[in-house]
Amino acid sequence: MSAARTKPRDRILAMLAMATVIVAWFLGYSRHAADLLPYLERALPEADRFESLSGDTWAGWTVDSRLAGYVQIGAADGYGGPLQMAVALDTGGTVIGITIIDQVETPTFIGKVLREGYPQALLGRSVGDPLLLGQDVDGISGATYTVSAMVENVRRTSRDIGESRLGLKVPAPHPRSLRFGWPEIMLIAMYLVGFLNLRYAWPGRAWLRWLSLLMGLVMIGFVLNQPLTLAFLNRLLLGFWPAWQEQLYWYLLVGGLLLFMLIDDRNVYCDSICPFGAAQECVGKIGGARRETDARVATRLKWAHRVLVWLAVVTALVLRHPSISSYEVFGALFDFTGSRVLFVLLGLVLLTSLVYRRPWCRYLCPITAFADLIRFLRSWGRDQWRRAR
Amino acid sequence: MFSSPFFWFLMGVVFVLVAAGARAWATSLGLRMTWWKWLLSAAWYGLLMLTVSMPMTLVGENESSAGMRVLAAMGLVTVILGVGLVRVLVRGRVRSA
Repeated sequence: MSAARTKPRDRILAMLAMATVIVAWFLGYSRHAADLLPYLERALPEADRFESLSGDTWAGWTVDSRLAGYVQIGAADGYGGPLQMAVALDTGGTVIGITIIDQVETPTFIGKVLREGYPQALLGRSVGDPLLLGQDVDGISGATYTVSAMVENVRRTSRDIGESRLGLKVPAPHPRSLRFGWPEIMLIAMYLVGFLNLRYAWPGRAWLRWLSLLMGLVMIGFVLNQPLTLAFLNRLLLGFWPAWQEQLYWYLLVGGLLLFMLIDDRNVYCDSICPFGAAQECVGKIGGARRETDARVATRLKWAHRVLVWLAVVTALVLRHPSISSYEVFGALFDFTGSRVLFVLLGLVLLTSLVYRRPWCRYLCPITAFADLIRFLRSWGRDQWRRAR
Repeated sequence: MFSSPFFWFLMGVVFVLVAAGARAWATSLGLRMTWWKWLLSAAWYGLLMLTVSMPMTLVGENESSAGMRVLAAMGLVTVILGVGLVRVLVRGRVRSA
């Protein structure tokens, strides 16, 4: 939307959309209170009663008043947000029970992890074990963040109980190491190149854009399988911000989109980085996609698109689950995972891409709708500022 | 049946007929076929046959679910590449008056 199109109707709708998002946030926040007792009982079934020792630690006592063990509630950052678990230790410092209390992971990711036997695979570990992914714990390809959160949870809670309640000697806490590798460097480079390429006209502009798109398709899509999704934006809105040292990629991906949109009104991610945009453009090149939608139909589809994204965001905020309403087909293409509906949708989108240019981006993608809203608010804010001056 | 020499003889006959038919079809459509266009067409035809035979083999081995997935994935790729091939073939086509 350009400045000339910031009509009163659009402004009212934008305000309404934002107001409902705020209401949904508070609704979700107020209804989110779990009764912990069932989880404590599941983590330490031997215990007959639980005695609260501090805010998040309980001692479990048997019927004959013998100390069965300790249970602690902990949370660590997964892919979708905080993953909360109850971890039980016996008096010797061995992990004897683990229960997931709350998680907001993408259903296919958590399903994959549970099928591989986690978190139960961590039972029997001792407070003295390193419990490090890749060292004494096996990771799961395609669900690294989820497994990492489970392992971190067990490591932190077991060591805390071991040290503070059992008086055991535990290994020194592992300092949070900055995860800054080739994916982060590549992302920074792609954003900078994409921005400069969009900002300044030069003869090789189209080629460089294609190179960037193909790199996004291969590296961000097929190799990393971490494109920008609705779940990332919902995490931002819900306040489920991960530790920046461990998920710098997340900050770069979301921050890059916001930064270049706010400073220069350019959507670098969608134009030059998005792997699914690249896939559609590749298919469009094969099919010679040139056809344009009828203007009236396009307007209706655009509004349907915005309503769909608004509904998805509101649902995620009310349920406080960033990926519950994700409908992207990225996983189906890049990881061959997803429901049957998503595979059918992927097929339809790719076939449509043969004729129409980037149909997903135009009429379905949540990132485009989000970018549209930022663009609208930016131009509205600029109008107000100019008027005030 | 499939191990019989007669079956493979018949298959050979069918392939020759397909190739001859394709040539006649290309001429009647006014397509300017070159060696690399024939190569691309043959490769796509091979892909089409794989798209049918692979899922059917899986179905025959009681792996219907896997068969359908392979059919959907390969079918999509075959259709997309088929559209691209048609665009390449009709470029420079000689239209009859």
